[in-house]
Amino acid sequence: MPNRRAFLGLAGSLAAGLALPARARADIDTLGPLRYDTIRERGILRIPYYEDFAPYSWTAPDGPRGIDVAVGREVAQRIKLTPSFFPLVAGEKIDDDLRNGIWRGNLIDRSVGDLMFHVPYDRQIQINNDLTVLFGPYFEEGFAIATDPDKLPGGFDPEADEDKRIGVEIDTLPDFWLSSANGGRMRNAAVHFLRPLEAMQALGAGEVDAVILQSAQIEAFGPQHAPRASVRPFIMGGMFRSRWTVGCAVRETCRPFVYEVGDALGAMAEDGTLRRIFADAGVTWLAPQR
Amino acid sequence: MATTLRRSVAAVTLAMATTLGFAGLGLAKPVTDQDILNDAETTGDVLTYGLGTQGQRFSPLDLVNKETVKGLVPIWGFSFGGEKQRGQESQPLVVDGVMYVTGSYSRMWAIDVKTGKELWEYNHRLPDGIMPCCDVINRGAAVYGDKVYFGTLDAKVVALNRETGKVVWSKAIEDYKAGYSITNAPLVVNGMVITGIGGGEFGIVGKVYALDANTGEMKWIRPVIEGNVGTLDGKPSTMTGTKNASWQGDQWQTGGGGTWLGGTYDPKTGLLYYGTGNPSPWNSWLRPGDNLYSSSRLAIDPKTGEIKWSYQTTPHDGWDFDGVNELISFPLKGADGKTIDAAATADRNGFFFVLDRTTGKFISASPFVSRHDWAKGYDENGRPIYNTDFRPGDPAKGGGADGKGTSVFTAPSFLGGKNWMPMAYSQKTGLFYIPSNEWGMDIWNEPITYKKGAAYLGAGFTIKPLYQDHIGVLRAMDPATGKIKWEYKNHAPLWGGVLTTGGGLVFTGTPEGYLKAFDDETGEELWSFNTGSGVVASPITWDMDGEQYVAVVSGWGGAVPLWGGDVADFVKSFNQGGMLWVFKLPKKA
Repeated sequence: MPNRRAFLGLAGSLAAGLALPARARADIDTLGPLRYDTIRERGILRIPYYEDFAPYSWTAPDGPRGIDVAVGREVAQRIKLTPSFFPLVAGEKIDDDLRNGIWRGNLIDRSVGDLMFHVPYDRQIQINNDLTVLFGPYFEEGFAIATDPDKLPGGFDPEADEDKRIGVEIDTLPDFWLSSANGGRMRNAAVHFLRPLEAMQALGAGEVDAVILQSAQIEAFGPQHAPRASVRPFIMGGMFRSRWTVGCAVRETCRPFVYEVGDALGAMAEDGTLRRIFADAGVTWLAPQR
Repeated sequence: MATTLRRSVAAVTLAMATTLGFAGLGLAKPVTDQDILNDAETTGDVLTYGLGTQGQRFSPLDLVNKETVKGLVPIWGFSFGGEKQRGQESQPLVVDGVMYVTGSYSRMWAIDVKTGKELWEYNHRLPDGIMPCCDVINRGAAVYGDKVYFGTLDAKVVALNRETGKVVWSKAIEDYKAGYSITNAPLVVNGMVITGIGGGEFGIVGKVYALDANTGEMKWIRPVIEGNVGTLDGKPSTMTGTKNASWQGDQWQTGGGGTWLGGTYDPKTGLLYYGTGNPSPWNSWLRPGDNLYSSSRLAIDPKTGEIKWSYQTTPHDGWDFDGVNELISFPLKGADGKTIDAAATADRNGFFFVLDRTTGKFISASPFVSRHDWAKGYDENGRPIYNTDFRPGDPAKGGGADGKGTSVFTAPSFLGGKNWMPMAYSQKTGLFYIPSNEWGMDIWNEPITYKKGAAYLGAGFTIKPLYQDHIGVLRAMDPATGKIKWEYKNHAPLWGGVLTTGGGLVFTGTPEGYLKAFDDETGEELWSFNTGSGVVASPITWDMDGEQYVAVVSGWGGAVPLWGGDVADFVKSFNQGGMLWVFKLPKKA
């Protein structure tokens, strides 16, 4: 079980980073105006979510769905606010999403979100984004490989399987790893997909011999699309991170949420709510390691 | 009957137009293909981005000249208004006494050039999710017939009625949710609106699009990365290049090469010239090969969208050296006195290239910035001679300190020896005037990066000025010798386009807020005017009723303020704006 102090620790230890001199940019003048008290008065908690990111979040005909959305609904209820979800187009990196989703707001009308889920809980990301507070790690994510047991009965061997076809999502770490590891031997084995689901369907259809995706994507899509595949964690080594901790972010001006949401997530970890929400999506909840 | 009716309609319209401030011009005359091809010679209007489809940005006008320019004064200004300011990179057009100018956030105005009075405003409704990479800018419009066209931040081409500003047609070129946007000024050739596209950094292939100017119907699409197949009249046409000739595996399907800066057209060869962006992903170790046709210039047949020739300025790019820069047609006088139909381009990579514009054959490459660490120069075949020490590291080889990849300092930075801002070619001096910047970058593989919440390996970089007292340098380049004839240093990075005239002047703006005029032979600064916000747009000139006018848009923004590091110290005090300024000489009493 995660220690509740771990939920708060990083935010506290990084307070020093927030004392850095404000960067010289005009954007500071247009900071999202909503502070904690205003949000409490309004009673509505705006939550950005990635629109095409199953099983974590997506837009269904009846509205936003997914693990992060379910976690968001539960948290909002526990802190007595009404959640209001809005889709966020992912930028080139998380810093763009924090800017567009949490502190500056979108480019058109400056509307901001108040609480963002699925933010990596990482010291360097916190230092780079001093107008947001990262806190509340709520699960552990990593990459996994699903292999076709007929094509790769002994599993995937990166030293030898360059004649196989390995599906990856375009422009992800497994993509880069396949393109560079072992002197690039596996480069021609990489088959690029725009969406993880398409990669999984190709595995089920025998068009690729394995796929390397986020664990939750493999767990969620596997049973329906490639039920015979065998799954194991995928560890890349070197500069390629294979596991990471996922948490939340709020604007620096809404710091009381760090404690309220942190407490709610801690309780949800302890009472089994998180495990259940993940299990409903077919995903194993792994407690955050930090 | 019909004639009478038409005449009476015209009369009513004329009356209305007068009260609306059309200065008695009445119905706008349709702009023809021939008008567009003649634009560089007709000094009374500016019908194209680049003052002519060749993009020379030269006007033969000489009423404002080295002697008289000191008397140049503003006659009116026009505020873009609203709360939305940010970068203004637009070049205005002048047609029949009406100016069409675009602004940030996909807006356009029609203005009476005599009075500065607004005739209409078009404010494009933008969705929340636009993700323009480099500020919410627009670079200008195109005109044809009774319509005026521009590209929007949500990746549409919009055709407006020139008189009313009402939408005639609007066509989504790509899905903005995938990160696409249009900021380039469209080009009209043979009744087609031709545009490139920007954004969509990963998982995309750059394309050039040709639409019917009257209907918006897609005529052809040309993908710029080998292996991808184009379309013509809605059907698959030909494959670009040869599949897997210079790419491995299926990487060509998502190889990058954005065409975000648009192109030029040369009536003599009948060819479109488009530049292409850097290949994807950024780290070159992940994609061995030349990666054609990324970071290239392409000659395209406007009738079919077929590629006639290509030249790659940065084969196997590893520094984010987009090859999008404008290729300007000009006559190159050889040592033997013969004239070659040539074209020149100043690349992000710090080299100025002269090519045979009929065949694409390499003629010369000369540095226009003080450092070009990544390559010693070019061999006689037009291949760079790489300095391998300056290529950012192989991620598989791992790291330097702090778990980061090994860092390399190399100049120019990825913002380029020259970025988007167009240079000018003087028919008077035979020189090119290049707005350049002196900066380098630390660049490394960045393992502490996340994308859509998942671990990722990004590019870490810090841009650093090479000199303490200046970043920007306006340089006069002799295309025949590759020698720099003069240079003017500017403290902040230069980010605006250049205009040169028969009066012997070179105009350009600075982020400090000045529009400046220089002597085209010496680089001496002859005139300047403080516009109140940074100038990062391209000036124009035209004449009307025997007087010469100059106009420029002011409004600091664009990509520079988005990047931090030491460069921020050079630009931090500049305020935003959104203002069009028009100048002329006072009338003699």
